[in-house]
Amino acid sequence: MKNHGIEIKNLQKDFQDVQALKGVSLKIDKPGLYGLIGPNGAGKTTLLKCVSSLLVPSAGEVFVNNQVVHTKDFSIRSRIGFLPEDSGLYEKLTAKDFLHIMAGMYGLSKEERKMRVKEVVEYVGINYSPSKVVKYLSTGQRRLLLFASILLHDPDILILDESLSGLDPINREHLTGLMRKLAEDKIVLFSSHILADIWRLCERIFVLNNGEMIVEDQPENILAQMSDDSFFLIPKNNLDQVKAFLETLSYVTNIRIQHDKIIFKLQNKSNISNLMKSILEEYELISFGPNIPDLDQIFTRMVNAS
Amino acid sequence: MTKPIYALIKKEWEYNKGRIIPLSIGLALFGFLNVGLLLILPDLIPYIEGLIPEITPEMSIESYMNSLNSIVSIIAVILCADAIAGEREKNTLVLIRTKPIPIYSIIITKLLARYIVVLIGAIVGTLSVYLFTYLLVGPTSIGPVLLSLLAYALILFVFTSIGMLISTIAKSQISAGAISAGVVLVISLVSSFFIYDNLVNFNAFQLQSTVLLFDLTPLTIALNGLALILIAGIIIAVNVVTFYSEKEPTRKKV
Ligand SMILES: Nc1ncnc2c1ncn2[C@@H]1O[C@H](COP(=O)(O)OP(=O)(O)OP(=O)(O)O)[C@@H](O)[C@H]1O
Ligand SMILES: [Mg+2]
Repeated sequence: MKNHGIEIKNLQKDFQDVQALKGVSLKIDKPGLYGLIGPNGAGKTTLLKCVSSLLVPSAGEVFVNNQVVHTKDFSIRSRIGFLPEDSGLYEKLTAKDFLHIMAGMYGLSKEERKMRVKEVVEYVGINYSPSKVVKYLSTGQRRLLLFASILLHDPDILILDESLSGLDPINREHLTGLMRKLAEDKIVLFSSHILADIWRLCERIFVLNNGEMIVEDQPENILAQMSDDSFFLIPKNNLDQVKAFLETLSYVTNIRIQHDKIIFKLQNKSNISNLMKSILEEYELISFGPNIPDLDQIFTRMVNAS
Repeated sequence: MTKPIYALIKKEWEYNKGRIIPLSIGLALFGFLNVGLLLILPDLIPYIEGLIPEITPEMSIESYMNSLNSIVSIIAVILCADAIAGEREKNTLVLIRTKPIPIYSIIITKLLARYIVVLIGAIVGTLSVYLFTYLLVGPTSIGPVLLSLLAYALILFVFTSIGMLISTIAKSQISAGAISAGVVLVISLVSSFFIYDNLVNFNAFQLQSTVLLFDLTPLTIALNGLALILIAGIIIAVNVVTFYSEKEPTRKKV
């Protein structure tokens, strides 16, 4: 196993008027997917730039592969692939030339470049002609090209800022798959506020709000913490009647209506079969199950709670 | 492994090569107009005929070299504006700054790319003026022309490094272009006022003219050349330090 990891100790970053990071610490010591989430302006980009040696921290330290990150130290740069959130591209070049130049800037020789560009284009699934001029690429095609360009030097650590934004669902799915595959032997630290399914696949989730780390845990734990043992039920029709019916049952509590669902809690889980029997005698149901809040709701709750 | 800087050189070449031919043609044309105008001016405005002396080949060449100093220098600094300020505006600086490329080599590569493009134009222009002068005005030896061109090459290098420095500091490409054009204009205008006998030996920024107009000793020429190289070196050093000490190298300035 290669000796790679990221360690951040009490990282602070002040801009003229704001404290973008107020003493953040985290440690990542094995390959996998790591999600950094948080609302706009939470400090995600600032944190990722400090890790990629693009910003000088105001206080605290960042280590990559046990080496202190320093804006003037270039050896770390060839181990990191950083995907900026809003980078431009060299518009005049063709996609292929762009990749060749990016590969060259990482120090790859001509033969290596040829090989890697071909490999990466296939790997990332760039499906337009590589001789297309960058200027004429769509937003999504640009994101994919940029993503391809940071894989050329086969880095140990990928730092992805908003890697999924600007992509359609198909490409998002595709890129999610790639990120998972890459995470098998690399550390993939990505920031996002698109809470797609990739959330559940993470080794750990870091939630940043207002420059502070408010939650750091495995996704299952976060889900478990946030779900509150309630159930939902969708009747075919007669929503209000079903609700009124539930209210007559003594073991059903906290009943409320949410869109087309009825949400409620049970005093005891062994009441489920009784409940089902009595409802199905009178009404038709479309769906029933444990009420797990969706990720957006969890996200909102976590941020509000802090 | 090859050096990462080669890729940046290639990129700069791809971006700047298209400027060589138009610039060379433009400056050759400008040279032709310069010679032509000098010849037909007395005919166009009859009463100044007595005011200006007989046109000599030396005059024709000096007049062109003199205009190079302002016009070509301004072109050079305007081309420099996109080097750093332009990339910052287009958000592409991050592509370079995430790569293991030393800062001084970024500055020097970008500077040389633009310098070479403009220098080629200046060389083509000067040679064509020599040719037109030879054909239309009269024969003259090429030695002084080459010396003057060499002097201008050094002056141009100083101006290009000023353009790079301003491009590093400026907030946008437009303001970089405007500020550095202004700076060049001031320097070349002010220095052109100081072609008096007692000052010619120290007027490095008009060396391209003084070597043609006055009998400078080789030592004086060498010292002037050295002064220009020194000035350029200092400006480049300041430039590298400025770029190096930027706390936020990739974000747009406001
Ligand atoms: N150069 C800067 N100067 C001043 N303030 C800055 C600068 N860069 C970032 N900030 C501030 O720092 C805070 C964190 O910004 P950051 O870009 O890290 O947020 P983010 O979490 O990436 O947000 P988003 O999800 O919108 O990308 C914000 O309040 C932002 O205004
Ligand atoms: Mg961001």
